[in-house]
Amino acid sequence: MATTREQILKAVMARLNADDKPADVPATERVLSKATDAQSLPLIVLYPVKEDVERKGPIAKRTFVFRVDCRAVAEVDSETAVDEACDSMLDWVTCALAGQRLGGLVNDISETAVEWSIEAADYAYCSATVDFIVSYQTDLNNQRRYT
Amino acid sequence: MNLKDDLRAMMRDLGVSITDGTRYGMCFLDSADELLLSEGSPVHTTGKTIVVTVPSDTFENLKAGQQITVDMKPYVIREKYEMEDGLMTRLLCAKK
Repeated sequence: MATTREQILKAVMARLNADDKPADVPATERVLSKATDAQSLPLIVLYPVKEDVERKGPIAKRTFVFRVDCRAVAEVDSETAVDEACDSMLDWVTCALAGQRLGGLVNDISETAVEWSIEAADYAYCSATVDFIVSYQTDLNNQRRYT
Repeated sequence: MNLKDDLRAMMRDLGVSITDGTRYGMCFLDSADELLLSEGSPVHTTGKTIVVTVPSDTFENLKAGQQITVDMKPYVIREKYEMEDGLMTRLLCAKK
């Protein structure tokens, strides 16, 4: 059985790839290292960032941060700005995740930050990352058992 | 021969055609893969840095945003820099 954290990530993936996902939003992938180029964009990637743990008797109170990285590309002189090309992905990510409890796995999912990086080369490339924070509890000595 | 003539001779032998729609000449075209948007991220995206080098006196007044055709492919100029004491101009380009 997977750790509660892994179950959370799987549940987040399922939510982002649910049937009500807009047609113009790509499926979210979950890889920790993936080489991409202009032809593979737009792209959404989910990955863990950090988890803080606080001991409360026999319980571990966990604050877990994960990131959703939305990437898009546009021609340098396009009428559509490359960050605008990330807009529908950002909209969906917030819509799909904020406030969710993932079937009781977490107390709440809160969006904490959105950060953009834009670089120009043969095209204009944009990465818009959305950080989410979730709090949950496990047994102190067992990350697979959540309370 | 001076530097200017040397560069033009090299361009004739090793260069490709360039036009901005009204002027025609030869240039150097260099393209290299570049890792982008990678700082602090496990997701790596590669793009291409495209550099076109032209004689400044043949292609003066080129501007960022202007379209050019190099080796029969369209590009748009992103940035423009002078090199070699103004003899040559380096253009960072994007695909059109």
